[in-house]
Amino acid sequence: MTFAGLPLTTLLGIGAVVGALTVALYVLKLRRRPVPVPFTRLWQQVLSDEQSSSLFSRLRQLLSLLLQLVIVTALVLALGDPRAEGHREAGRTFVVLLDASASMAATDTPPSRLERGREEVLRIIEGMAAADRMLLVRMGATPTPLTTLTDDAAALKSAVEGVRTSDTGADFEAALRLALDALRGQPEPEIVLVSDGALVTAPRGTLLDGEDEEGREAASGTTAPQGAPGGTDADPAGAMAVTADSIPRGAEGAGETPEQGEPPALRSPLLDQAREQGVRVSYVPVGVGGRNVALTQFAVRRYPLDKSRHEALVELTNTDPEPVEVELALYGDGVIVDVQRLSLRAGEVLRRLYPDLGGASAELMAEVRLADGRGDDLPADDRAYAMLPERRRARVLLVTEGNTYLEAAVLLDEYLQVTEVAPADYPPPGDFDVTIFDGVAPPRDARTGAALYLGLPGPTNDEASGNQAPLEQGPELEMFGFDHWDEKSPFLRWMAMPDIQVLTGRALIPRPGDRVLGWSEALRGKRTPILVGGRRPEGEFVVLGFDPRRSDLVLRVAWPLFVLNVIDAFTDESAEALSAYRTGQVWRVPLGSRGAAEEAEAVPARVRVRQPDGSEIEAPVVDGHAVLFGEQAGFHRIEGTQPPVRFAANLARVEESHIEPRKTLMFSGATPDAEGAEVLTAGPVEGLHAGTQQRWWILLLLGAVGLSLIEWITYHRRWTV
Amino acid sequence: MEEDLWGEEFLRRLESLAIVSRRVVPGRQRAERRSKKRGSGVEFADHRNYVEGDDIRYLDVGVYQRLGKLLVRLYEEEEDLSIYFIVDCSASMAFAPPGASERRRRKFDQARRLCAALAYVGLAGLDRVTIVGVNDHLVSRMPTTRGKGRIFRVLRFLEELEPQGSTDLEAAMKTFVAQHKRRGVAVLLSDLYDPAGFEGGINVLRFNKFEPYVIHLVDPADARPPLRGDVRIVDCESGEDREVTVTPALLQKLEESYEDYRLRIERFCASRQVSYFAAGVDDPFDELVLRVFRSGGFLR
Repeated sequence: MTFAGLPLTTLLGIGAVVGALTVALYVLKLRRRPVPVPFTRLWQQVLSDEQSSSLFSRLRQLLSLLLQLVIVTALVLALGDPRAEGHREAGRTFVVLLDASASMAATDTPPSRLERGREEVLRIIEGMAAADRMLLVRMGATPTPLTTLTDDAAALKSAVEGVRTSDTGADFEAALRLALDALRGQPEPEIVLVSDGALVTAPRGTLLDGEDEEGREAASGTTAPQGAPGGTDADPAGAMAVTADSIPRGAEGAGETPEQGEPPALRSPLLDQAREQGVRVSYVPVGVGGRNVALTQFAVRRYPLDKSRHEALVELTNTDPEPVEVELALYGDGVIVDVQRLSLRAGEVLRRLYPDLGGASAELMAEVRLADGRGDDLPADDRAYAMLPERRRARVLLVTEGNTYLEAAVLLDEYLQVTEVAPADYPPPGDFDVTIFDGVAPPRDARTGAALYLGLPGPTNDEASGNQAPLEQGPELEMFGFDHWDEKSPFLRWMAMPDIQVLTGRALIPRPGDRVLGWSEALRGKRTPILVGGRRPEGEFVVLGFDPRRSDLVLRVAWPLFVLNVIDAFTDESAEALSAYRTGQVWRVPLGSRGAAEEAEAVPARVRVRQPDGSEIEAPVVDGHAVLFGEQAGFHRIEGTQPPVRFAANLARVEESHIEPRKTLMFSGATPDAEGAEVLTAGPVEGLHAGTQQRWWILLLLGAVGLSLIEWITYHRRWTV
Repeated sequence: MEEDLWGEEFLRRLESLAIVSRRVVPGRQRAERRSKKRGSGVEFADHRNYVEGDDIRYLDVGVYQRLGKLLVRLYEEEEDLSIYFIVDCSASMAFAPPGASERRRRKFDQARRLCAALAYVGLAGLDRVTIVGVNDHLVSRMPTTRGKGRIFRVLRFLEELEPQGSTDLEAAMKTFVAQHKRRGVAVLLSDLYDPAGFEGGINVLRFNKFEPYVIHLVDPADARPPLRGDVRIVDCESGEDREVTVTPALLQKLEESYEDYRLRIERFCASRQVSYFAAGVDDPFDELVLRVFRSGGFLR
């Protein structure tokens, strides 16, 4: 036993003084008040009877004194704040990383892994010595400190009780960095990881190679949005395209190397920093494992040429080592669209494409459940959500003397409101989203929106010629094509560019700030721009360096795709809209069309976002986008805009769906440690002694009060006098 | 206090006692003074109940044969009788228990009232009345006097008595008998709290031919003092102390001890033909006086 309060020597001094005082007072108490009596001889007989029991009486008096001395001893000890063995003067510094990722909601250890994790943390708190301190960190997509470095067990317990899971992964890398920062310079630092082992770490050496933060995030995939399903066009046959692909378990977990038999080591270059700081890493595993079938991907898109129809991609992952039968249901606007019974092999990843869907206008939801009717052990990944891109009737102005190919292309989209005028009638009355100049370049009017130039009229730009093209033209080109193009440009999505052959055209000379989207090497093998995009005071534009009718482009599927891509990109339709966001990332949700976004006064500085659980959060608006960190899967709704914006978010993190816990956790740093080991295994928390947090002084105080009560009762009942 | 002690009511009751006392022994008006001299007189005076220790020669056999009762014949000798009142003036006579609501000297006051009443009857009977105050010695003495008109002298003397000091009846009686050669009735009014024993003083009177009457002042508070808890009892006369924890059981034992002490005195007196009267401090004094008279022998 040690004393956290007054030192032992002081206690002994106080004890001696108070003990002596007690004995003195006891002696004074024994000097009883004198009472005169008329004749003491009358008492003799009585007192002689009393003397027969005087030994017992003395013993009782001695017992009374001992009782008082025990009370004094208890009070003096209480002053010393005694602590049980395990208390150390220096104390340890714990940073407890409590995993609050989606996998911690698994019910394999009822009621949940998180609850088990809470119990483990509470056990650690109970086992802390008096001088130990702890910082509790909620480890979600971002680490969140819940307390300061404190020894206040009540505050720590309260913080533990408040931890909830989120529909995100756990960023162990960031949490480890926070913990190391917090532990710098602290005595006996120790990181305690309470988790099921489903963690996100950076690939080996990512930071050591000098990459910046953006590069790291890109590498770990934390900023990449959940994309649209693959493929180019709709399956013309409308048949289900089912692909089954067995992916090794854990291979999609960042930085893991799957090995048979034992879990792979977590790679973290921060481990070297931990070694340098002398930080001990402990691991408290939770969970026993169970059955889980997860929806790991869900995306939907409208067909580019038939936006009333759409297709959806669903990816199922069976993380169970046994084959399972599942039911996969698809809902559109709350109405069931399709239900299928599927068999998944152990560890199988099954992608399923639902082509040519119709009916739903906005919300789609996929749900998977075990065929036997019972739920699996992780409900969080049994549902996936998606939003169809918003359909808006774009106003398109064609400035042409007549172009059948162009008219045919815009006719493919029934949601376009097309107006055609001759070049002499430009600009017509009214506002437009996009204007397509067919071989002409009149002075632009901002009311006519963005511009697509299908070839420029002449080599010069001046008022005399009436040409006011947004850029100048270079030398004439013959028999050329697209040798290079910007594959990421929304203008060129789903297009097969190498097949296009052009008879004649002109090179384009982009101005500073313009973006070249396509090049030809027809001119002496040099890259010559033939497709350029940019922005002028009148608005955005895209210039094609040749007349499409002087090429075979108009005969290809790419032609209407190109026209509609440009219109969609300029009207924002499907350019930025995602069918679903991925939780655990910063979301930039567009609040409206580009044109509307430019009207800054129409967009509030902050918007309220109603989350799937009904709670509301505020999000700032930056550049026409609501910016927020997403933690909940489901349908979200942004209030404060007209009309309200809805969007979906999914967990879609396969490492969270693998609920088989890691029994041991191995860390791999960049360099071997002092003993030459490259991989360290995090062990259990050591040195905990139950009851070291016990406030003995309270018990001693209560004991002293209790003994005083006993003394009082026995004294007044004449038991100890 | 003294006014209450000797108030008009008291004096009226004294006179009444003097009249009543003559009715106690009817037909005995011839002589105003009486004295018992058992075995030496020639004139039959009275019967009284036989008690243990009486000389069986004085048993009235005739009465025994007729009535079946053991009675002792008493003979009178007409003479100029001396009555001595010995008032205990020790501190215990004035003892009032601590915390008692009434702080009066109950035993001492009762003793003085009894003494005054008996003295008045004696004076009225033209007996020679002498009063002395004693503790461990003879502290005060009222010279012998006679005649009813001297009652106020008696009262004044009794007023001036102050209880103090310890008790030693034997020593005080030795002084008393040495100073009073004329024998007579010796009425001892005391609580008999004598550390050396109450027997010594009485025996001195007996051995010197006095006819002792013991009037034992009894205060119930002495038997059951209002005490509780841890105390150190201190004798009010000797200063002797003793630590004791007073409990109800202890008080019960004390009460029994007191009663034993009183019975011991009574048995002692009876065995030695000494008249004994227990006088409670709360008993009416006139009743006590009549009880003395009824016991026989005091009046003739």
